[in-house]
Amino acid sequence: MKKSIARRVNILYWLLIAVVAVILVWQLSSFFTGFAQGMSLSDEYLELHKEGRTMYAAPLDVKDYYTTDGADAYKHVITHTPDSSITVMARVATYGVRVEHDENISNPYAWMKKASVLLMVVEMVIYVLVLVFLFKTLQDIKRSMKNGTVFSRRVVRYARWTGILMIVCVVGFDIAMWLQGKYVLSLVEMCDTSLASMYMTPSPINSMVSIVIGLLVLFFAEVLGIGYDMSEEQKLTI
Amino acid sequence: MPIRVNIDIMMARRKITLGELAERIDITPANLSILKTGKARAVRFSTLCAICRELDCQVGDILEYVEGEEDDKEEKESNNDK
Repeated sequence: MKKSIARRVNILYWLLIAVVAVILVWQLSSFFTGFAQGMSLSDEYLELHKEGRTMYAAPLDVKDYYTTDGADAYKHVITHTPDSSITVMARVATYGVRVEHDENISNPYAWMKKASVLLMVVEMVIYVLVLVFLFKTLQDIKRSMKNGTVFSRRVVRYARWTGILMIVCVVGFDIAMWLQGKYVLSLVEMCDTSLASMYMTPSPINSMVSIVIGLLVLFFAEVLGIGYDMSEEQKLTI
Repeated sequence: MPIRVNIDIMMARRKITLGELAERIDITPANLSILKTGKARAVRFSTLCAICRELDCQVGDILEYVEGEEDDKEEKESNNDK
């Protein structure tokens, strides 16, 4: 294999590792911050439980955010200079909504709460698997190139699984967020129907970019498969 | 594969072993064995030329088209589609 190609692949390999490592570190730091918040929340949760109550939170999007525009849309005055020469206004797209309720209230959407928690756990496991398969794919490509080949059946398999799991992970997370939002919205509706009509659940397919990347990885896996078949054919050409 | 390779018949006629023929035509015995057992996917003209030269035969003496014999790979794919 040409040295220039091998060098370029090496650089891209380490760049990709570095970017994924930065993303992981950032996500881990968010995880630990969230974990600390979760610990204090769990104390609060236990206190509420003693009173026979529970709480749940989810983001809800403001419905008219996407339909209103112009200066009227920016309803919240944040700050301004003493002479009002500068005024800072804001509009809210998403509220973090928290609902506290009695544990034994009857809600036909209660199954959504359990389903979203279960789905979140499953998707977190799948997310870890995506990272594992991604690293294995890159590692295998690098190892194959050292041996003078680029294509191997294992690389094709790992790349295919990476693509599939990426799509499943993203869609699963979005569905879990939608279920969470739907459950919280149902509780808001039980309090005030007109207030509930001002909000909506986050769109179930928010992460289109990640889905496109997953599809690209699947496409890349198929191209690798074609390359593997061609290289095998070449090996059996006497 | 619908193309049958009869190189072993010619080798027996000329009383030449696999290793000797491989050395004479400058390919490895493993590759010649792949050709002999019909596992090869393609043959270069240069290789055919060298084999015919060493075995003193024509291409038709080594390669034979047999109608009805499906390619192993094509057979597997058609079974998978079913």
